[in-house]
Amino acid sequence: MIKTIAKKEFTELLRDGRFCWTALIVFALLLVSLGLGWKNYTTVKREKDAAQVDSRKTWENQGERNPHSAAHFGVYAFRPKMPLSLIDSGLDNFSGSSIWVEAHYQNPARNRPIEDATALQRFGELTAAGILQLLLPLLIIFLTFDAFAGERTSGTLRQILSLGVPRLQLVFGKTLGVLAALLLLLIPSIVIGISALALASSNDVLLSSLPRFALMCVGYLLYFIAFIGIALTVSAIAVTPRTSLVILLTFWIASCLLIPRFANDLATNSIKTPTGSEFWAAVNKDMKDGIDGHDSANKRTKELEEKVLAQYGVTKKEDLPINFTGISLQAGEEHGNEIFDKHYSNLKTQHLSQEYFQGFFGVISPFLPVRGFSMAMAGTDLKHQQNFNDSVEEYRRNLQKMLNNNFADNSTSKDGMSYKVGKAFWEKTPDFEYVSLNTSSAFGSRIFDFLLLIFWSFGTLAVSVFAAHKMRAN
Amino acid sequence: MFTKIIKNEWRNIFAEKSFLILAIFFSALIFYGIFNGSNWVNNRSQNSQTLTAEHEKNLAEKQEKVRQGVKGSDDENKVVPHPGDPYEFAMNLHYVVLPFTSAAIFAVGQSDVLSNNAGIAVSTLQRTEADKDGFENPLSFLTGKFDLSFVIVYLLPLFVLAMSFNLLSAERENGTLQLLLANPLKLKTLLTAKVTAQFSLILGIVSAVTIIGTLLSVKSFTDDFWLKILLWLILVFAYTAFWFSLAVFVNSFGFSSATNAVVASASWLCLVLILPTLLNVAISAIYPVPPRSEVVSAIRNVKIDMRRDGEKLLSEFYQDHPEMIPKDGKTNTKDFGLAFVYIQREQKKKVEEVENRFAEQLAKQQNLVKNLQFFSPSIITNEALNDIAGTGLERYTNFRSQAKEFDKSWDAYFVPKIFRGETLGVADFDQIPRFKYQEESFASILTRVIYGVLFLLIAAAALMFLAFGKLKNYRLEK
Repeated sequence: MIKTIAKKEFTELLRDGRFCWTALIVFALLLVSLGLGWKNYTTVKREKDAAQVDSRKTWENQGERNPHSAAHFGVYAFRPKMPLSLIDSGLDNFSGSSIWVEAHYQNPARNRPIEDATALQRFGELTAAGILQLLLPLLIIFLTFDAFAGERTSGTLRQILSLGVPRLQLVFGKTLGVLAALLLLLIPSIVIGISALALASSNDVLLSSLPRFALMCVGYLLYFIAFIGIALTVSAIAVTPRTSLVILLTFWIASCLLIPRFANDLATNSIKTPTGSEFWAAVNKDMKDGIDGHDSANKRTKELEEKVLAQYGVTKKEDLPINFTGISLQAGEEHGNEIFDKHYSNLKTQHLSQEYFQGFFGVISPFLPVRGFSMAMAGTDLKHQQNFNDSVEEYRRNLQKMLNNNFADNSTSKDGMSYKVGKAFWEKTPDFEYVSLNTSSAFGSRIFDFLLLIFWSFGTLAVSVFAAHKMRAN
Repeated sequence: MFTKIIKNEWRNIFAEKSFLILAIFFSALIFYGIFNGSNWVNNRSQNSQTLTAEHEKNLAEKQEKVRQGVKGSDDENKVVPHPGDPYEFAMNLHYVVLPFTSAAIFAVGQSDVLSNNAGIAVSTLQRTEADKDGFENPLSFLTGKFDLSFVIVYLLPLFVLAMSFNLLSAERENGTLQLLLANPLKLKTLLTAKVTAQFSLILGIVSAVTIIGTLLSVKSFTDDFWLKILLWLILVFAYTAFWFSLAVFVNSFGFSSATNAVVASASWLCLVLILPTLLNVAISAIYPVPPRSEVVSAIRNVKIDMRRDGEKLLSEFYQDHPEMIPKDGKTNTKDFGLAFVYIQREQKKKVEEVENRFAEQLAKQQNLVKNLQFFSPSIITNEALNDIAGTGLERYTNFRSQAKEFDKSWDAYFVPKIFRGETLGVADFDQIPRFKYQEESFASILTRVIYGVLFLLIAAAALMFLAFGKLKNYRLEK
């Protein structure tokens, strides 16, 4: 019976000019956005790879220099573009794309593409994810709002119900019918998506992206089922197709437009993040009490000096077999690291709390969990950005240590800053290589969103069965 | 007859519970938008005020020390710089501030992404904390703010369409249309009267709530504030008119109410959500902004090392710039600080060259936005609202270039003093350049906004005209 109903619903949709046209438009938009995503991905990836290579080359060819001068010269780390960002660019355009790795400072990621864009960018981006999250639900609404309400108006609902068709089968049949029609549109899109991915990346990248891609598809499927469930429920309850449509559109507006913005403002108003000047004022306040590698008058430096002198059993810095400045600089770095750990982990917590805070609104808006889940699978969400920042910082600390140790071990305090190293040493310093979060930890961080999507899809289907039971034929 | 229908329509609307709910809800959204916007502006202004006050305090303290005759100390164990040492000014960053206008509470615009503070220092910004910024949550940019501008651009059309999508179709479906037209009444007149009734109601609600919300949240009114409010309301009038005409146009085809609803929401989707994103793609494809990594390369390609190359560079510099030689004629080419200043200036020049290219591309993009905005009424309105609120790209571009000019005068004041080894006297402190943002006139804002408003009105009239043509063939029965 389910099959018959599904088949009837499916055939009817295909015969319906409305479906064909809207589906064609949505498909065309998906195609365009995938094409744009692919182009954007390949261009940005090429630029970033080139920039990373260039940064390394500049570093290796900086000439003879004091290691600490080199530390100030620094290197740049560029956030690599994730392959699935061609489907969901997530936060890519809104967060910094490069970090300057230098002495004394843990720098935030800078150069957000949004700063180089007009206000048009704020209307949203044309990405496959955007279309799946915003337009597909609308398409579902347009297709299903009169699933029951329409049959009620035309009188066929009475006939069907008089046949004694179980309501459960009726709901599942309709769901499958709509889903089948949607898949007609989605399966080609998935194939095109994978082809774009394959074209844009090497084989191993493609293979490692597939599990993420599969999970992403599951997330979207759950999201669509949720909307079908909601649409069927409303259609069963509403008296006329018109009321059904108005209620569903209102839900869509609330879910996709109002609640996300409302939740965002509530989150940013209740969990405050510092502005740039406030952040650095706080850091500097902490730094002031601490060591500064350049300032030998500092109390901490004095203590360090006494400790090191005692360690080598000498009374004057000049008699040390090592260069005290290098030791002092490294001590300064380590003191700074503690301060940065404090302030950056605060900031990280604030950002994540803002995200969790918004996540709770996923209980009333299925858009929020699917957006978060999709971004996470694409590797373009907050967690991935933070992971990149963290690994750059780890790299920075290792590099600073290597430079300071080289400075301390290979010269003495008598040499002062005149000690220099050259290309051979620069080549020995490690290059920055970023390994992204693996699929399971990306999924793990979004388990709440995933559960919400399951709750939405199964919950709404259950409710629609219930509504179908209560449904009246007239 | 006309006024009778209007009155009757009003009576009908008020009798409907759903309208009251919708109206109250929409008013609440407007209030919330204004509240949220003013919250944002207050927070940001406070930060800016703190920065300006700190800078002034710092200057006053130094001047006072100079007045008292405090000298620095070169003692190795306790280096204290001379309070009038220009090198200290060179190293220290301060911020100049773009003030928010009183109308900024209406539209957050680009003010969340583009900073209202610009760092000023003789050293490059890269060497200061001004360039170590960006602590906002990117998620917040992605979602956007819930300000009045959002309510107007996105939600007002929905409110309008929700009221008017079944202007005629509902009357026809209820069977009242035939009844009405049994009177000596033209369909055109009926439709116009009904639209006028709804239009005046919505506009009344929006204007009243906006003005009340404004009075409650704005603390100080600048001279042209009420002019801006007026312009804002005219814009809202034109935008609302456009959406009503669209509804009339859709109704004139004679579809059922459900089909009208689908068509109306699809047009909203197209004009508000899809077209702007498509245009954005087109615009950034026509004038692509170069990758930011080029700025990075430019900074790094200044391959000088102050420890290694400083002495040579400084002696060359003094040869080229004899006016910078200290009065006693003794140049110190081994001075680490001087070499640093020299290198920073070289890097600044490089960065400026590259950044100008970014600015040029962005200006071209913005120009194109202004030319292509006519494709979507929402783009027109969004751009215009930002312009009126003073949170649009143009004002920020103006601010940036004024800040850059100011930075040059800051350099010009301190750098020669650094190289000549002078210290600042008490009187010199009063000569230190002070920044004040030169606001553009209301007239120039008006010229940016007016074409959009006119276009909206013309488009509305054209849609009405087309609809009236169609109405001749309108079938009164289902």
